[in-house]
Amino acid sequence: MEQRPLPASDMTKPWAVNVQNLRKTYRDGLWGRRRIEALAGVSLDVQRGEIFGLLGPNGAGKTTLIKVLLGMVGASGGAATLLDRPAGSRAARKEVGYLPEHHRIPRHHTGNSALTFFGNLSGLSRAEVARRRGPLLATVGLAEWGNTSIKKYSKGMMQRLGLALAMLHDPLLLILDEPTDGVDPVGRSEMRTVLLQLKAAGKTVFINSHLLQEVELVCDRVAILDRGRVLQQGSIAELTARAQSEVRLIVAGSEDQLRRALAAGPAVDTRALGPDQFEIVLAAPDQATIDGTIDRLRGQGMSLISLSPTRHTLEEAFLSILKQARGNP
Amino acid sequence: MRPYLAIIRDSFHEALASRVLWILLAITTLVLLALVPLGFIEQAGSYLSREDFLDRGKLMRKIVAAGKTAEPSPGRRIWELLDEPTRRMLQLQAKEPNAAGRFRPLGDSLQAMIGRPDFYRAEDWAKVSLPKAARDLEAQGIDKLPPDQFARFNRLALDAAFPDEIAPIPPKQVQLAYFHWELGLTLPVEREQLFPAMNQLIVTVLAIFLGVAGVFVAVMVTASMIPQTFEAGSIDLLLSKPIYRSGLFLAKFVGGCAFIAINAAYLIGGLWLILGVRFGLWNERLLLAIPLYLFLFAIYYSVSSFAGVVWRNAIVSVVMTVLFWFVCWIVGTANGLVEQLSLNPRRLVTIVSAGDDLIVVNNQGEVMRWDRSDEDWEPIFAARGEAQMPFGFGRRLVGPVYDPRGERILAVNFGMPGFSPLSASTRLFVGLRSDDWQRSEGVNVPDGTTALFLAPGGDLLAVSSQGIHRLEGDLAARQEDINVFGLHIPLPERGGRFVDFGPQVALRPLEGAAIDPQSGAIALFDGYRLVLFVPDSTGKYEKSSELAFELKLPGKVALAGGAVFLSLEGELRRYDTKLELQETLTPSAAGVPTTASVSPDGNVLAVLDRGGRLWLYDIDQRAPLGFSIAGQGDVSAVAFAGETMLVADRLTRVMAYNLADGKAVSRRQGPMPLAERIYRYALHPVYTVFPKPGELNQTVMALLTSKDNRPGAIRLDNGPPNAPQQQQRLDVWGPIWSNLLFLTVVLALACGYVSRKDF
Repeated sequence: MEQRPLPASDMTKPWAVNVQNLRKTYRDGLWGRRRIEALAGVSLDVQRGEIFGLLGPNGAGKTTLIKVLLGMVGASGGAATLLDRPAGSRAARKEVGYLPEHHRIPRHHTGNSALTFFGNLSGLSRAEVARRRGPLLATVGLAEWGNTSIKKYSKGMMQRLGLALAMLHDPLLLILDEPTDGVDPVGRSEMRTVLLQLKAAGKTVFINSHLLQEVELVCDRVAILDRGRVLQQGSIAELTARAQSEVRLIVAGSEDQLRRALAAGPAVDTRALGPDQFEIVLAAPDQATIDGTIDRLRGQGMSLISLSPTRHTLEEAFLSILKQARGNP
Repeated sequence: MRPYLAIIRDSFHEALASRVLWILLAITTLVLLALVPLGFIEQAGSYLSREDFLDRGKLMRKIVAAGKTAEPSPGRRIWELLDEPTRRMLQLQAKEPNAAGRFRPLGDSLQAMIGRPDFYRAEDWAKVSLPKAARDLEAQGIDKLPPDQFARFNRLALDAAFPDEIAPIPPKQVQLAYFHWELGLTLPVEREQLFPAMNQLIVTVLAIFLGVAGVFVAVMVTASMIPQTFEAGSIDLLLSKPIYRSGLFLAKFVGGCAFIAINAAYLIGGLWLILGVRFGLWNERLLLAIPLYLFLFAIYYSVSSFAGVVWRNAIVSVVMTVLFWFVCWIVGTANGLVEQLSLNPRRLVTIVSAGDDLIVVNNQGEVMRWDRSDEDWEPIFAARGEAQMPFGFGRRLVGPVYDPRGERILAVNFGMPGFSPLSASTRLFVGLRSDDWQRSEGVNVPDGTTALFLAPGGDLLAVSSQGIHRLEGDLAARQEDINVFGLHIPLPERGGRFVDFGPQVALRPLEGAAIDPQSGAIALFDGYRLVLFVPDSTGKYEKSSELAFELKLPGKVALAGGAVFLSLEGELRRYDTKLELQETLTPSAAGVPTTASVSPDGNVLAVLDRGGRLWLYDIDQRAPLGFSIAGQGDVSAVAFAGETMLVADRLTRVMAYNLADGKAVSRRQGPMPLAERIYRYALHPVYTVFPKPGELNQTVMALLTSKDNRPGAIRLDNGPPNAPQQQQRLDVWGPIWSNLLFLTVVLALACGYVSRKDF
């Protein structure tokens, strides 16, 4: 008996990960009467060969989603596919390398013996592991530490070893849950290099993180998850652009002219910068709004001194998307 | 397979790294090293044990008599060497007719004398012919002999001087020793004879040290293995691998077992080597204890593992395992107590067909008659004024036998040998049909009467280890008391009495006695000697032949036509009237026999063993009878009445079978009391389905000692002869199957849980 693999989702495209309307409800409390909706209909897809970031605040359901994909947790509904195989099936798990959050490798291992043990679990022979582990440890920066008991490893070294374990059997898809947790800046930079190398080798990487700068630096595409729902999904450029940006206009004219010009259009924030000089902030405007506003200002005889659009960082976009979602649930 | 082997290997890796394995192996090594110096020292036989005194009274009288004369004799020599208090006590005892009292000082003195180089003087033994073994030793020069050899010589000389009073000494004895220090435990047997007892001792020690302490330590040591694996963080990495969760759990379980297997193999293997090298006891079956104890551990470990995956906490695992052990113990104990205290006393042990009436006796000594109108057993023959003892400790009866001419039943209170303060007043009990089988007291019976027979001529015979006695005169004692200040002073009896009706024999307490209903021949068996008596023309008995065994054989005898059957544990020997062995059979009732009896026509032999199994043998056809007997394994008594055979099973049920075709013809069973109902329909079924880890010790015992059923084996469990029948079942495979089923169910549940759980 095993956790039943999920029904296969859309298999027409060569997705690395495809999730459709995935739901997971935990039962809690006495007799399981309290229901907690961890995933409330999640749909997303990850293309082969890309680095994908799953973002979200704590408790958004990121780890639950990964556990459902790997079959550790049974889904309550929906469909998911990993590398064209039903998510959670043994066949799918065979091609996946996983670095869990707060992972614990049994304390009696050294770096090498841990690689041998988990390599065996992936079906690799001891000889094969012995052949692979030298270069692999060098890649993650543990070349000198293979024979050291992991009791002596620092948190960052444990993350590096975890990454090595995930890469050991040369999987097509790597799922990394908070991979840079506890890793120093130099290590993070090295880890980024490794991820880009993996991408160059045609692997797909699925990163789960709340360190947005990291994600911004390596990910091709991201999805933002909150309260079990995907709020936004797309490339970083799309996401930051789509997020509510602002256009600031600085105009010259009288306050009367300004009032008349803005009375016809939508409500906007204005601020007096000096006598006869004003700043107008258009929140998330489309081009027609901008054009209309300028036409009306010009129609009242005001002069346009400057027009400056402001673009968000991923972090600002994330916060803004979150704020918007929570503001109008 | 590779991933699962890796998990098992990792368990070892873990155990090695945690040093637990090393600590356990080191402790085991220390235990084994401490045992290595233990061993036997073989010596020439000289030890004088309590059992070797065949007739204590006679020996004491002889020594006192010799002490009074001036003529040199062995008795005189002994008298010289005795100290004054012992002499005075002997003189006092010699005057008493019942001189079996304090014998110990003399016994100790004799043992000390055997060790003295000056004990034997040729002039004292001038009239005694020494056996060849002693003469050979004498020829070597007594003062040149090593201590154990001259002790043996002294002992041989003593045996030769008192052949009827002191049993002969076997050639060798063994001493238990640590390095070369004798531990003072002398056993007058050869080394090999001790092996069965040693095997039993080993099993007992193993049951305590491995079965309880060892398993507990093992459960403690392994309790954390599974919870640690299934902890959050550890389990994620494992579950992301392409392996089955059940496989992961089972591999972890096997890993824990394998770890314990190494320790058990080391300990038991080491023990086996020590026993072989130091004691010469190479019992390869001891090695079977490794898988058996591993199995026992696996049962507890399955519970621990199940708790481990559910609660993922080592302490909870240990607590649940201890709780499980406790519940098992409660269920087993409750079942055993009810069997012993409530059911076993009610078990029928004797069936007597008394004309139209059927009379039975249960383990408690209660005599009952089948009441046709009530369909129940009705107590009869009750002892007046004698309160019924609780829990089956009632006095046991010899008999009853039914005397058709007088329409009466006759019985005697069973006198325990060596434990009969009341034996002086052992009386015959008589119950007349006309008197509604009321018990009345008759004449005194000889001491140590173990059987009552009716001779073909109608004489009442009482059989004891001293020989055969016949009742002469009226059996009702007409004895009157006079009451003096509340004390009953008996007046001399005026009734009949039992007189010797055959040669005097000095046998040990009888194991079995039987009469041939046709010829009247009687066979007595005391475990060492089988003696056949036949009546002469006047009806008086003569010793016809005798067969001696070197070693004690517990068993029963039966007589039919020209054959004497000796039923032993696991075998049945047929002798002719000259006591020459004709054939040896293997009955299916292979335990220690409780009864062996022959049908009145002499055609069917029935052997019943302690396991409640009945085996029937067609004497004419010389083949086992294939009757289908109800309640096999629970049979407690068998008797013959004309053409039918009566079999008591299921406590108080008596089934009658037609001897011609083996068909059941009638069934007598009273209503079931509440306690028995609860037992039969609630407690026992629960007990049956419950795992019985404790019973595995029985399996170990049975496997280890099954080779020891050969005759002459000295065993620890030889209770007193004619001990109350206990339903004792040494079921070898039963506990294995029930425990295996339990193990499978628990592991399957755990696998199901692990597979379904969200981690």
